[in-house]
Amino acid sequence: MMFEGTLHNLDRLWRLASPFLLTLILVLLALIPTRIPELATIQPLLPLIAIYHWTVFRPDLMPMVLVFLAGMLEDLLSGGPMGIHTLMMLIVYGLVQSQRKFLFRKPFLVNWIGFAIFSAAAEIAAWTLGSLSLFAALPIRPFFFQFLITLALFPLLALALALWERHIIREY
Amino acid sequence: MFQRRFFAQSTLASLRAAAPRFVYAGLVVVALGMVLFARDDNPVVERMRASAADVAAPVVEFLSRPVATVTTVINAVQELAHLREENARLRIENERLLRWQAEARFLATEVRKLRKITNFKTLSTSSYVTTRVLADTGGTFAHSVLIAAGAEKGVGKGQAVLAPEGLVGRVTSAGYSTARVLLITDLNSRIPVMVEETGFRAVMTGDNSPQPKLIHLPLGEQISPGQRLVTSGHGGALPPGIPVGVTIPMEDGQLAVQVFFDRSRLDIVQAVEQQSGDLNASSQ
Repeated sequence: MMFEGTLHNLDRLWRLASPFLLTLILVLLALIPTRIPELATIQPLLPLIAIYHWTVFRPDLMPMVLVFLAGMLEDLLSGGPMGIHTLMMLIVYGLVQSQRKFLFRKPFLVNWIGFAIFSAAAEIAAWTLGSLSLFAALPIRPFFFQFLITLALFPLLALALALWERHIIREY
Repeated sequence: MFQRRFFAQSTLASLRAAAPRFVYAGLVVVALGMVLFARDDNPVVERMRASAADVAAPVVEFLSRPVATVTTVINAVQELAHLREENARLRIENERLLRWQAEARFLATEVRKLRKITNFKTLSTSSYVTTRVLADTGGTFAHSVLIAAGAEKGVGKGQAVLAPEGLVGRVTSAGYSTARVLLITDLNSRIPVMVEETGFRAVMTGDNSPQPKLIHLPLGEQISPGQRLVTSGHGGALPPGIPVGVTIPMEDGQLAVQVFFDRSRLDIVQAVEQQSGDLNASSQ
C-alpha cells in the first residue's frame, strides 16, 4: 500500500518536473553540431520557446529560479559571457508574466507574435550587453538570424510542448 | 487596536504579494552582474565551465546520435549521386599528390643532410591527440567548439587544434574528458601568422565574422591578396608552419583571411602539444 503510494508520488513528481527537464534537454540539443553549411554559426535558442510556453500555460511548473538555472546551464556550456543567456531567459519570463492574463487562452497566432516581440527584446538586450562586456560591437547578423530561426521553430516546438502538457502532465 | 492589527496584516499581505518581484529583480541583478563583472579568464568560471561540459558531454553524445545518423544517410545519398565525378576528381588529385610526395621526400632528405652538415638541433617535438568535435556552441557571442578529449588524454590549455585543412583554434580550457576550443574566427583570437612565401609577419585577429582580419602588418612590406598564411610560431604558443588561410582583399583596402577549415564540416580534429619551447623564444 505504502509502496504504491511512493510509486504514485514518483510518477507525479517526474511529470511535474518534466517541463524543466525538457528545457534542459533543449539547452543541450542546441549544442549538437548539425554539419549543415551556413547554419554552423546560427543556433536557435530553443529553451527560450520552452520558457515562453510554460510561463504562459503552466507558470506553476516553471518558477523563475528554474528559469535562472536553465540560463546558467546555457551560459556555462556556450562560450559567451556568463549571465547573458540567463538574462535573456529572465527577460522573456518577466515580459510573459506581465502579459500573462492577456496571452492565456488566446489563439496561437497571438502567442507567436507575443514570442516574436519578447524574444526580439531579449536578443537586443543580449547584443547590447554582450557588446558592452566584450568591449566590441558584435556583428548583428548572427543575432538577427538566431531570432529568425528560433521564431520559425516556435510553432513546431510549441505544438510538441502543448501535446506533452495534454498527454503527459495532464491534470497534475 | 483593531485598526493597527489590520494595518499590520495588510502590510504583510502586500509584502508577500510583492515578494516574487523582489526575487525576480534579485535574479536579474545577479545575471547582470555576471555579464558585466565575471570575466572569462576567472578561474572559478573556467572550472565551472569545464565541469559543466564534462557532465553534459555524455548526454549531448547520446542526443546527437540520431542527428549523426541522418547526416550520414544524407551524405551517403549525395556521395552516390556524385560517385563518378568524385572518382575522376580523386584520380587527378592523386596524381598531383604523388608528384608532391616525391618532391616532399626529396626535400626531406635534403633537409636531413643539411641539418647534419650544420649540426642543427630541432628544439621542439610535438605530440598529437586525435579526437572528435562534440558540440558547436554557435556564433552569437563566441566562436568555440567542445572537443571530446580533455586532461585525461593530455589535452591542455593553449594547445593548437588542427583540422585536416589547417588551424582551427586553441584550447582555452580543459576539463577531464572535454575541452573548449576558441576558434580562430572568435573576437578574442590573436594568431601570429606569416606569409608562407615571403616570411612577412602579421597578427590575425578574429572579429566573430567568418573572415578574420590582419593587423600589425610589417611597415613598408607588401602582403597581397591570394597569399597563403601559416602560423609563425612567434611567442611560442603555437607550432610554426600550420596552414591558416589565404589573404583576401576587403572593401576598405585592408586584408582579411579566408580560413582553410570549414566550420560546418568540423568533425575529426587534432590537439597538438609542443614538448619544449620553440626556436623563436629560445633565440631571443
